[in-house]
Amino acid sequence: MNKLLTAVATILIILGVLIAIVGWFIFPVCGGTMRCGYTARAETVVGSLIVLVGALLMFTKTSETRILGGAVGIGMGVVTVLLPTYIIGMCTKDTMPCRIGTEPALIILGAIAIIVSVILIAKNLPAKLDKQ
Amino acid sequence: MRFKCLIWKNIKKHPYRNIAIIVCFAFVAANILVADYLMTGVSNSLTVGLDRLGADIMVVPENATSNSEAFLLMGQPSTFFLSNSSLDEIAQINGVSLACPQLYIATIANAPCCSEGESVQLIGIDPSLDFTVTPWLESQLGRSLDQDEVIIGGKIESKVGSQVTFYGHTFIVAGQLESTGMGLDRCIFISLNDAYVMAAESGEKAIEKLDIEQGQISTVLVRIDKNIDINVVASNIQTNVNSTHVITSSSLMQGVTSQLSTTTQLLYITTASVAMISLPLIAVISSMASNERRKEVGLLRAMGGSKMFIFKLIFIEAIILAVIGGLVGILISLVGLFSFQNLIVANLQIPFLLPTLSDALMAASLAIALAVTIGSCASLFPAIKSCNLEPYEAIRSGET
Repeated sequence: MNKLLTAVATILIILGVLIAIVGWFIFPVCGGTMRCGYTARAETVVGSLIVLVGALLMFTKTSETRILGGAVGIGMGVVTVLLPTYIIGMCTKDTMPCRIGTEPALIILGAIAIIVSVILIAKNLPAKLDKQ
Repeated sequence: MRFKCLIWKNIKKHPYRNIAIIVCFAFVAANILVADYLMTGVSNSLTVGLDRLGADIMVVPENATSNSEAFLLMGQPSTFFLSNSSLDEIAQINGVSLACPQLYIATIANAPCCSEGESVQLIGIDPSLDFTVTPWLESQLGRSLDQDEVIIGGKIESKVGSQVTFYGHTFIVAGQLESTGMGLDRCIFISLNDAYVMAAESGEKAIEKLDIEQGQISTVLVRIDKNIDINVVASNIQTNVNSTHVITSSSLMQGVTSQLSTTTQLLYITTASVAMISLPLIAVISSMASNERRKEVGLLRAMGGSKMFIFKLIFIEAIILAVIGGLVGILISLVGLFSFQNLIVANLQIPFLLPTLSDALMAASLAIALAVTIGSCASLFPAIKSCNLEPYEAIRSGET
């Protein structure tokens, strides 16, 4: 379990860093004052929070806190996906750099964060149920 | 069931080693899939796009060859003109069945139809001669293009029935073509007469005057007689009509293939290198694994396990790792390709149309088959070596 926890926490930290910087360095958005620029800023905050969740997971000892950490991870993953697709959005034209690079990258990173968090919950849930 | 459990336990016993092997297989499968997927997408796009174009040969001015190819493939708009007499000269050439003129006009940036400073290609067609979009329009609407009506390409963001304005002239969208992945997706068809009227009015109505005279054309699309070699007709046109260049489907395909060849060659070379490195690497790892398991193999043989049982144990384990690696590679590359398809197309400057499910499955099968072939070849020697071990000798040497 410890190996899995370390792996999940490390993956979440890496994902958080990637989510925070993807819109600025890896697949840059079209411009800071455009809609995609605001999404990139919001993703920086969400990514930083995911890094924090990953770091805190490393120190958790009970299955309850790990499940809670996983639930927060799922929530953060969902927000990562929804920010460019629904909440703030990207530029309208489908040929813009933010639409062809940043948006798909954020969706993939968010989806991986959700999957990893679900695995963490699935592995800790039986232990929690056994205690009850 | 016991046999399966034994294989699965062996795989789980050495997770890091097996993950490394799976990564090798995944890399090989992913490379093969990406190369195949790109080639199929380009081929699909050219097939559908050239079918939509409906012409065997496109005659363009000699000095606008690269412009017209850039438009056809990537939709980069441009304005160019062919000599007015070209249409009649081409129509008289032996083997030419139909010839229709087209007028190419690049709109000014920030045209009302199109957002963020992008210009589109306007194509003027003669509805009485046209055999490209007019038959399509007649089959969809039961009539040809009326005055002040346009047909828009698959990726133009306007709705049928809405109004679009070019050079101060307002048109109504009569229909939208299906996507082809080629430049045609970003063009707008208007009638030649409307184009001349629009140009005449542009001095007063538009920000920028459009200098086009009545009767000017940009290209001639040619459909040739059946049973006549396309290259002969193309060569005749090139020779007999001055200052022209002919574009055929094969020359276009050749151009795109050579454009993509650097990328695909790089992918194939990487695949071959990884395959060549991973084959002995996996063989060595399998040999090490079978050496480590000499005692286990000896005990299995002593308990009545046949040589074939031992062979299958090692051989199938390698194949399972190859299949897992192949599937992982396919999954990752398909997610990457679907998600970043537009980015890849924009960077490679190629026409691209999403391959069909059967094409994708074919590419995936090829990738899995290659991974399994590498896995089975690499594990063959250790499997034969292990199954030939004498039980007593194997148990004794396994203990030391």
